[in-house]
Amino acid sequence: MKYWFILLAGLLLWATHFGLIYAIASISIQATGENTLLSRALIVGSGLVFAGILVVLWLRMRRGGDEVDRFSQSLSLTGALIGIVAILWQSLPALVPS
Amino acid sequence: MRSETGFDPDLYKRFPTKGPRPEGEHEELDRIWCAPKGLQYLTVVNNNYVGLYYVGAAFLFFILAGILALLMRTQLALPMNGFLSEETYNQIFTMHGSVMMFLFAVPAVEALGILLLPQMLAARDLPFPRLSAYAFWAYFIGGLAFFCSLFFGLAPSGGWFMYPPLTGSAYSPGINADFWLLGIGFIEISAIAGAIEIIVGVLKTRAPGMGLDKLPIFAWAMLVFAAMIVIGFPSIILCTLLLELERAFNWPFFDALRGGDPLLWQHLFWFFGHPDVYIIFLPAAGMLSMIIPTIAQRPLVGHNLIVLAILATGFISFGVWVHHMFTTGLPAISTSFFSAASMAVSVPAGLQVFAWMATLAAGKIRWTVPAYFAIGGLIVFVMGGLTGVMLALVPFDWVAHDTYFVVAHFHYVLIGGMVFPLLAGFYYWAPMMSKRRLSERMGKIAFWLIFVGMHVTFLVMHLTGLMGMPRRVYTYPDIGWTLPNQISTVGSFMIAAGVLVIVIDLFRNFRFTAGDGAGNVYNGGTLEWLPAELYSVRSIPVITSRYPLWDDPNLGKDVEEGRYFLPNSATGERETIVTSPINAEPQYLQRMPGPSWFHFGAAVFTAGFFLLLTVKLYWLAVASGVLAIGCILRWVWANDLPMKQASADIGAGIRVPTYSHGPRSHSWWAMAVLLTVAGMIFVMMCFSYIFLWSSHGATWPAPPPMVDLMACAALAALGAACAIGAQRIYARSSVGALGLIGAAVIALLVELWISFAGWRADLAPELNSHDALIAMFLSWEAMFAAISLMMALYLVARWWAGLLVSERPATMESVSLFVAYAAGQTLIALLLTRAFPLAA
Repeated sequence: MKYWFILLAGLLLWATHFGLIYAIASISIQATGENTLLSRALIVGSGLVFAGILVVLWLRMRRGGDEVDRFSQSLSLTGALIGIVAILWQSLPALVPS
Repeated sequence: MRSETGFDPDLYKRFPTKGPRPEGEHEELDRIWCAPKGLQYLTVVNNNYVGLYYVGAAFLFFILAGILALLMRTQLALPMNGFLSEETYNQIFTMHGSVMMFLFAVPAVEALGILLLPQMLAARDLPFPRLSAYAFWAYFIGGLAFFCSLFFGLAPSGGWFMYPPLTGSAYSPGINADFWLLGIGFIEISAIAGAIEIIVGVLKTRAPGMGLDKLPIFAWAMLVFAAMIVIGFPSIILCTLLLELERAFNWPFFDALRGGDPLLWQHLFWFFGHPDVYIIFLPAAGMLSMIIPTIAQRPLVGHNLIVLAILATGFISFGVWVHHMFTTGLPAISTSFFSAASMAVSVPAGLQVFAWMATLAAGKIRWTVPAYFAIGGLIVFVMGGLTGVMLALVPFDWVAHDTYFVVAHFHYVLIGGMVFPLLAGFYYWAPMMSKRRLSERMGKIAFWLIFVGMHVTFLVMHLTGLMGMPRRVYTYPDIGWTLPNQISTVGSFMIAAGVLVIVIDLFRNFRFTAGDGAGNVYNGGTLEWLPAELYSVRSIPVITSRYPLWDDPNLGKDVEEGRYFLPNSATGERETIVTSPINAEPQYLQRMPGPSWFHFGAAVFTAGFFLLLTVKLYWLAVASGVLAIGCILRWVWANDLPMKQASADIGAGIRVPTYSHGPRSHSWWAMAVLLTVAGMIFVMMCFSYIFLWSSHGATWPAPPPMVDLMACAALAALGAACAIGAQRIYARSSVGALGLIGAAVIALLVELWISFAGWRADLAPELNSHDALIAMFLSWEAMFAAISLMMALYLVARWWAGLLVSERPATMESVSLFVAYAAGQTLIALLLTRAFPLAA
């Protein structure tokens, strides 16, 4: 499973982050009737954290190792880069005032 | 690269072997994998036949649904037309969409997977041939019956997405909606059976050396396609189940007056519905990635990026479902997330389009019929993609929602993204299984008719939509919509003429064969173009590149002379090599099943169960269900039987075991995938509970006392521990393991009884959504407990027959995995329905 987690790290983290920010927004609206400043901050903050995790993973994966061959390494690295962009893109709506 | 399994890659250097092969190997393979005769055509399991049946049936449904489209277009050709009545039109547009999506699009691509994957991977067959055949027959029999409901005025009329409350019993009395809800049931089962086959097949039955880096793009696409079915289809299984329960027993999941919510249906349906578009598109894109390099006669540009794009599409497509619900009044922040994801999903699709264009630009295009359909499809798909980005923008969607603009958009996407690639595939791969290739001249005539007809029909439809014409209306007044509608009608008949030319071409030229096809007429570079018979290739080659036929001109000859793996039947039975999932290193030899009546009977009775249930013949339905279960039990009885030899020479002196278990084995993987499906249905049930709780939780009754919860949780945990323990001790004592499975099942049954008794006093599922959900959870748990009990009895029967021996733990492992899952699921359900409301 470790192989698949490394291969799909960027996409898995994107999906986790997507579920998280949807939940944060829903809970905020459920509790207060609006998307509060706190929930927006959490959404943007979680985006930065997840993107940061991917940056660290990307740097570690670049060093390579025995676990991944060239093909999977190229997929993991590009996937991580796409994940970083996608997570930041996905967090942008929280910056738009309602 | 490190070995994945301990297999020494230097052993590959022994191939191709030298010297003559012993006499009679060919004949023995022919005998073992012989062609069917007479009634055996019904019981056949070979992928060549089942795949072809499947493709043929899907194409038949394409034509039938196309005829329905012509009827609709004829009705809409004139304002206030009386060609079709309102109700008939409603039934026809519902069936057009449902048949195209459920009986054509998904089965067609699944069918091509079953037909092509063994050849592309150089496997003898996919690992569960009877499962493929079962999936086909259940789909074909059920699909035909479902379609025939039209002739009796019993077809559903609520649109292919069947929104409640329109489809609830108040507004849709009668059994028309039930035909859809239960009719889709066997199609879902069929799709999931096919998905299990494809996932395990792609990961475990590749030619040795075909690591993931050398896996053909079509196989990647089919792998992601099947994974998406496993994640996405459970959602539609659940929502059809909930709506059928609401209709049959008045349990109000979607009735707002009793604490339900129609939006729950939309969430569940579109969580399946939008990924379904990509479920259809990805295999078609995979086909294009196989065909375009051959057209251009050069390797695909950006191979790795295309793999990544396929994977990314698989993920992101599950984050876009709400864009079908932009007009339902959801909070702006939620719609913004889904709008962003809907735009993002176009990036991987665009990436594939650019890679195909670059491949074509870098090579020298040979203008054959597959090239016409591939490039034509590219143009149509890009146009549909652009309007898709427009619709991803919330303000534009508000304007265009439910107008003909949307109809035009999704027809561009689906026809460009799936139908054109499929037709390209028909012409491209026909020479592999037909004595004659299809006609170039007729193919080009068909292409131009369909391509021009497509634009005549749907380009103008964007304007019809922007002029304000809503979808799903059976007629319209003469307020300027007549001319565009007439143009669309003319175009639709052009498309039909093109399809007719293809049908004529197929009748004139397609002659099925397994051994002497027209051959590699387009000079493709991948393994499906190796000379093959009913047993697939004579010997299974070692793969060292992505285009082995281009890189090793002698490969076909060496394979045919038996100079690679498995040049004979190593055990005297049907068999294939099972390889590791990442590097495709040989692990063991899998015995494969032959033709049988049991999977066929199981399929007939499964379809019968759902259809009889629909027409309310309950006792006959129960009888059919029991017969289906009986057939399935008899079918699996033949699995996991002793082998004549413990290991076998698979070529060049390399020996592998003839049996395996645990995560190495194909059966373990199949059970794991099946449990993932069950797990996803359960996750969606939990989502439904939280969704309804979020709006009505304050009025929900308190759960039963805490002491009940503790007792139930302890029993569920005990059940899980016993099931896991059974697997651990099986090697030492099969009887002890059997006892532990029995204890686990008893724990589950007692837990269910206590749980039911705890709720029973106040439970009134027809009164409010909370009680309906609790009844649903209890019913779901009861079903798993019943299946666990049946499995335990099955184990007892095998023990009685002397088949439960410690050297062969695969059956016990599958049962213990299932029972442990059932116990774990019960534990989570307890926490959600009893502890969560107290904590929240």
